[in-house]
Amino acid sequence: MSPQRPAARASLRPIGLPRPLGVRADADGSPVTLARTDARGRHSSEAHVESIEEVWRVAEAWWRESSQARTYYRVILDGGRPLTMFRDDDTGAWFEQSYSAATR
Amino acid sequence: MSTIRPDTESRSIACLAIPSLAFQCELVERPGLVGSPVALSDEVRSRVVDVSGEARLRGIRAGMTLRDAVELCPTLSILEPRPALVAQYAEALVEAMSAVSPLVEEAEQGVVFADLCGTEGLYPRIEDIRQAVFAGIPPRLSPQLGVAGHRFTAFLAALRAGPSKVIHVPVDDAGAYIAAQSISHLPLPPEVLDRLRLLGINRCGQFAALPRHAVEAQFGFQGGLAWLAACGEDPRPVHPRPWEQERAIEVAQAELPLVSREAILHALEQMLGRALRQPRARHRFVRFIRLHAETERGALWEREQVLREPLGDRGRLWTLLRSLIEYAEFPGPFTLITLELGGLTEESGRQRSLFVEQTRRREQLDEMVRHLKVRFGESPLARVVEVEPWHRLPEHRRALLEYDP
Repeated sequence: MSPQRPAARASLRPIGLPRPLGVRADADGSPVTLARTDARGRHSSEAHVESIEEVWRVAEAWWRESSQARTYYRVILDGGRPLTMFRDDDTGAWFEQSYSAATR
Repeated sequence: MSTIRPDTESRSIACLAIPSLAFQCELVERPGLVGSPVALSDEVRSRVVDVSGEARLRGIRAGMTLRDAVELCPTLSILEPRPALVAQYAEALVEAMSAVSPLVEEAEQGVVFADLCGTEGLYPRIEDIRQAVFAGIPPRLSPQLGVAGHRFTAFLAALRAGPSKVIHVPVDDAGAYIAAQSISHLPLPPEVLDRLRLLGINRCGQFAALPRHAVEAQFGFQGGLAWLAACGEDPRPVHPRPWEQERAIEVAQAELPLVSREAILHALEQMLGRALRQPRARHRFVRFIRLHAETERGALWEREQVLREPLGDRGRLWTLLRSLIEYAEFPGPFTLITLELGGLTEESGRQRSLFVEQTRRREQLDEMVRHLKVRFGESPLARVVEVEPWHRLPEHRRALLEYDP
């Protein structure tokens, strides 16, 4: 690359990126308790999952090397607060992400 | 009449060559394959394009189908081509040659010429040139260097030099040196070379022995040039690449690979604005646009549009750029896009808007953002754009596009 060539810059910054969650799951893999982490990666608050309202799976771009498969859970936390979270089926990591139906 | 002293005339052009650049790049990236039978396939994975020495010993040749090659050698490693990777290495070769001369021409990927005139004081010995050029190239690429008084001689010398070696052919020896070489590298179309072979002319010396007027009568101007090249007097100069100052380049890295046309258009719209705001592009007109994109699997997509008349208007440039994207087919999701506005004209005046009231608010906003940029380093304002609103993963649907006047 030419030394006078400018460095690459990010063009579009995605909105709604998933945020990591610490989750303890039961034997079926369903979330039981979750712990949020702050910007420094420290656990900041814990909550118990009272009920699971909906579960759905999204497998995206399966034909690509960087395919993404997720299992989403819409849950009700203790206190009645709803939350949408997902488990990355490739890595097993949990994330929090708001989810609304896609528009066309 | 030449005023160049003989010793400098003998070293006026250098040629850096890496035969089978695509193959060598793969071996550099995967050193574990060195010493094993390896073949490089074409993009559709149907035929062999290049083979390693070990594969050649097992009877595998370029042009074979992959099925035949694997039947001959079941342990054969087959590599897919990665044009983006090859382009990066090719650029590195140009940079390496730029270390010895500002006048550098990339004749093709893996073959770079440099005009050495005037560099005698900096690099008194040929060995100094070799060291300066090879310092910027990974040795495993096996670069070869030729130095001579003329272009074709330097090219042949580079092809004949071994890995990491240099061959210097003085002007007085050029004719004899070239005479023994095959005609296959002469600057002539393949069908002309085939015709020469049918006539029993296989060596450059045989070609040079023909009368020049007869060669030109048969093969035209191109034939005359090739005849001079075969005589060691190639008149073709080095055509240096444009100065960086004549180009405004913007490079964008996509955080998430850009899959949809809309996302690519959003990214390009921003890049065009940035490119036009570069100091070297201000108040100048653009003569051509070049787009270069790399996919996540290393494929390359390029488009170039030469403008009928130089343009300086962002709106008209955007219309043109958009048309390049709207009907194009892409080899995959883009991870890196480069926009080049080239052939920038001299500075010229720009017509201001007559409707000052309508533009005042926009100018005030732009001015405010410029102040914020000075303070924070980047524009703190952004606008939300819909990228792929139908996408099933939320982070792909919308994105922030920096507001950067």
